[in-house]
Amino acid sequence: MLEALVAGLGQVLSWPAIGLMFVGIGAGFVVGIMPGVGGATALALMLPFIFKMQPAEAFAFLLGMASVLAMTGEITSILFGVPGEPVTAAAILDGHTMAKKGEAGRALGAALFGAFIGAVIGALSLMITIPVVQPLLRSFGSPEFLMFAVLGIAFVSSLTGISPAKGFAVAALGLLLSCVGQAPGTATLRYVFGQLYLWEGIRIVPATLGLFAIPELVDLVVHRSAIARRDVGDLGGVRQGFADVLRHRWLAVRAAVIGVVVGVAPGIGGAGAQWIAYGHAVQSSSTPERFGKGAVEGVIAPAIASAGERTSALIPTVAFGIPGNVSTAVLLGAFIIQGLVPGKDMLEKDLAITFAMAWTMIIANVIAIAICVLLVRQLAAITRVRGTLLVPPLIALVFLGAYAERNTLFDVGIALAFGALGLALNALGWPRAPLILGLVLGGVIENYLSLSVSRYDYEWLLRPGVAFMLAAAVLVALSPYLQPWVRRLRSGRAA
Amino acid sequence: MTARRWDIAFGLALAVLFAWAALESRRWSELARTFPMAVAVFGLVLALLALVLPARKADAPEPDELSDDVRRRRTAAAVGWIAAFFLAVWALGFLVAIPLATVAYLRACGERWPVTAAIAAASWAFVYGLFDRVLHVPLPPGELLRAAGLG
Amino acid sequence: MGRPSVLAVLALVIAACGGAAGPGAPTSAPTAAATENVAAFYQGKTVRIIVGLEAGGGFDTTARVLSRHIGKYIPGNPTVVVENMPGAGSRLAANYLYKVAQPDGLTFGVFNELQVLQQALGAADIEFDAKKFGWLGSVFSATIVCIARKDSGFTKIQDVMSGSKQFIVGSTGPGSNTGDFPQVLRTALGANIKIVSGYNGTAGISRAVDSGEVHGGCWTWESMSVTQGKNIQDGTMVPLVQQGDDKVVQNVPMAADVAKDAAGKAMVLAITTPTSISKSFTAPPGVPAARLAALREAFTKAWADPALKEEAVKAKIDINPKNADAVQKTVDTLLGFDKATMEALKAALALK
Repeated sequence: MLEALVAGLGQVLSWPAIGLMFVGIGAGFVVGIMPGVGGATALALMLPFIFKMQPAEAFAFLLGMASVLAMTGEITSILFGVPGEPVTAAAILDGHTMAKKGEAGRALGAALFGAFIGAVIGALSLMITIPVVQPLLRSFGSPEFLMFAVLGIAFVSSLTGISPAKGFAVAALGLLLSCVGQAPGTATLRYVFGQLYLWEGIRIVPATLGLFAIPELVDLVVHRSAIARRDVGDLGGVRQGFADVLRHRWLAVRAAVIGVVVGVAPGIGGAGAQWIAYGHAVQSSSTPERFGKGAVEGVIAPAIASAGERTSALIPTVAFGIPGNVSTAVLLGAFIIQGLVPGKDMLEKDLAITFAMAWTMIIANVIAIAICVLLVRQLAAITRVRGTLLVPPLIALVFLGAYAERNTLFDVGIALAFGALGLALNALGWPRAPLILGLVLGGVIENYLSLSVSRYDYEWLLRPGVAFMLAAAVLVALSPYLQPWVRRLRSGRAA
Repeated sequence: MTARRWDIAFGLALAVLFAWAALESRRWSELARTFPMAVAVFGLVLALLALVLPARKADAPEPDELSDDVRRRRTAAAVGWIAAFFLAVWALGFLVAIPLATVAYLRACGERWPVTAAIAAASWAFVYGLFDRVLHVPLPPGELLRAAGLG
Repeated sequence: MGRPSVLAVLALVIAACGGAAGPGAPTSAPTAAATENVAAFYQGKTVRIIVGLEAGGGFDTTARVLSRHIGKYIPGNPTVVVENMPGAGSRLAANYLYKVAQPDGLTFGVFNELQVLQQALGAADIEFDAKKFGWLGSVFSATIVCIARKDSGFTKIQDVMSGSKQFIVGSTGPGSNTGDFPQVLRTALGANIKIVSGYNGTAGISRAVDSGEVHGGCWTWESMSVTQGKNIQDGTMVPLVQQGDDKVVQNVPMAADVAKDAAGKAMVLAITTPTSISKSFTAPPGVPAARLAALREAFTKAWADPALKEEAVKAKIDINPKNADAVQKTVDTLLGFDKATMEALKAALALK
């Protein structure tokens, strides 16, 4: 195993793999700005190029690109409030707010360093779990995957803001919107109004763009100033952001664990992981009221979780050929082109290649973060440009992003509708995050629920793992209400 | 209307939506119906609760130099511009609409020609270069142009 | 809101403009002169391949492999690009190719061939008539295989037909091979099968079989041989029954041969007819005959191209192409099944 570990590293560092990684990273930077073409589409477009490559080269290229795609997404989320990838939307709430306060550099530093930590922990967990991954994952069935998603949705209770009823009502709206389209496991069409475009449900890219980017655009127009409304000098620097991550190291580790777990459970994906981590950051903070107003933990936790998810999503892909998310679905196609069979082979015979993939993600992240750090000052300078000049390009970015995933203006319309909803929620003080979490997890929950019930009736509720996770979910859901009580107890004891 | 009234109106609208969703779901098979119906009923109760339960006291809003009136007018303008961009894209396609709408917006905001032209040109180059040339994303020609036989 | 009415007006205008080139336009037989025309027409142009499913899947990979090689066989060597138009299990793309795409020979596409079966079954929202498409040909002929875990106690199809124990299979849902095929077996073979629906792709079913959540499943050999090939070899998984043009597993019966009566046999044949023209590419109806002929010829030549074959082998795309005539014949067969069979099929699939 150690041999394969070293051999894997050697494969990545040899020529031309390392050169191809740089090409992938370069391509990732350009394409990553675009929300719609970011993940799967860009990777699918690159597949033709890998026919003539060796496996380690192909994955250096593809994973190099995939690593940077999401990192670029963090950048646009923080600077402009436009989620470059749906998996980086959570960075907007606090990261973009920090940019408005003149702390763009600090937020970028925290997000990038966080993404790096997440990627490293994800890659390490890929390496470490190899001996146990097959039996481990095989012991999970649909009921357990259902409970993972239920545990995720329980974090809504920490995202509700000042009115729990409003927050839960918005989460219910998200769950309801996830029902649009063909019902899982049946041919029934629900809430589609005769639109073929709605058969596969409301897409997460246009929904996220509309809900988050359009209100930020309107805000930019309303203020008629630069994005950064204050100049805080060096305090807003990238070094400060790095220091923030180190200061919140235990949050970082917990967020990474959330990301890794979500990555291994098929279905939830990075779009869910980041919000669960965000909810966890709020929940574990002693000053939850700071969130949404530029709390750096609100940048760190989601960035780490979505990077951790991205890397660990390779675990089920390698072990079973089950893609953990959309990008790994395309990578699976790359495996097949390279003659690699997911399963036993990749864990034994082709172990060096599996390790090479983990190494690629670590190294690509190191390179990407180095490039980003060099550019951070210039990037942050954009937030001091006159806002007026940014409005038309940003509108174009949002529209093209919504359009490009399925090549239809229908999805731009969806983005506009979610934009209107986002404006209304913002103006009236209803939270937006529960909506997205509901939309992302609703489909997964209903799907695994219907599988569990039709396979096991209600006996699955008695499985030990299910009972355990259900209890955990209840605890998570109640934690915002239990916490003041716990704190009082503690301070009472201290006094 | 006051903010509180808008809040109530929104809560009621949500409640109506949930009620409709629950009624609509009755037509479907049990497998297709269970989840949306449960969510809708749950949502209906919550939306009504949100109407009556007082919120925890919000913090004082961030000090803001804009008056409510200015804010409202500018928000309306912003929404109008976004809608105008969309109509332009629908009618003329991305490649024509984006530079055109960019020029219109920047000139309306009093930007000078050199800056306006530079940003419009850069936006066009980005859309054309990345989407049309590199990624082969099919950009729609625009309904008006298509109707005129130019698409 | 004025948009719908504006759209309607525009649609009328477009229909008026495009009428001359629409379905049923007079076409002439290809001649030498016409061939030269075709080359001149395609020169410097871009041909679009519309894929009715998402980027990265089997249909998409196939179309992209084709797109890299078909250009050199089309006279005039146009650029060929792939566009994904996913929606409604590719019904959206089928409708688009039929009604919206210009029949100028610059657009063709591929959608799930099961949509043709859906037309035969009279499903809603189908706005195409598969008989009138300008078919180019199909890529391969699939065989559906049902497998079971050995430890589930099912080792031959008779174990499932005897009915003492329920055979639980995983499926992605109705309207797919994984759902409709076992569903038909219930009636046609009188088999005691329970279908658990909603798994995410055949990979999801494969995981459920691996973890023992279900006893087995039915899907095409093309992907089953990749994910379950090893398990079948070492005997952990047992093939029970298959259906298709070709027997892919020896000593395993065809479903049609073990059907309990003639009606059952007809149903099995009807439900699996589309799989024999898997990944059928088609142009919109009404493409000028010379251009259509050129596309058909290019399609056939492309699949025989050694470079394409090499890529296809790497991408694990099975190639067993059929030409346009064969596809047209299969489509006619599918849409021409007698009423009794179709009604029986609908009843078996619980569509009424």
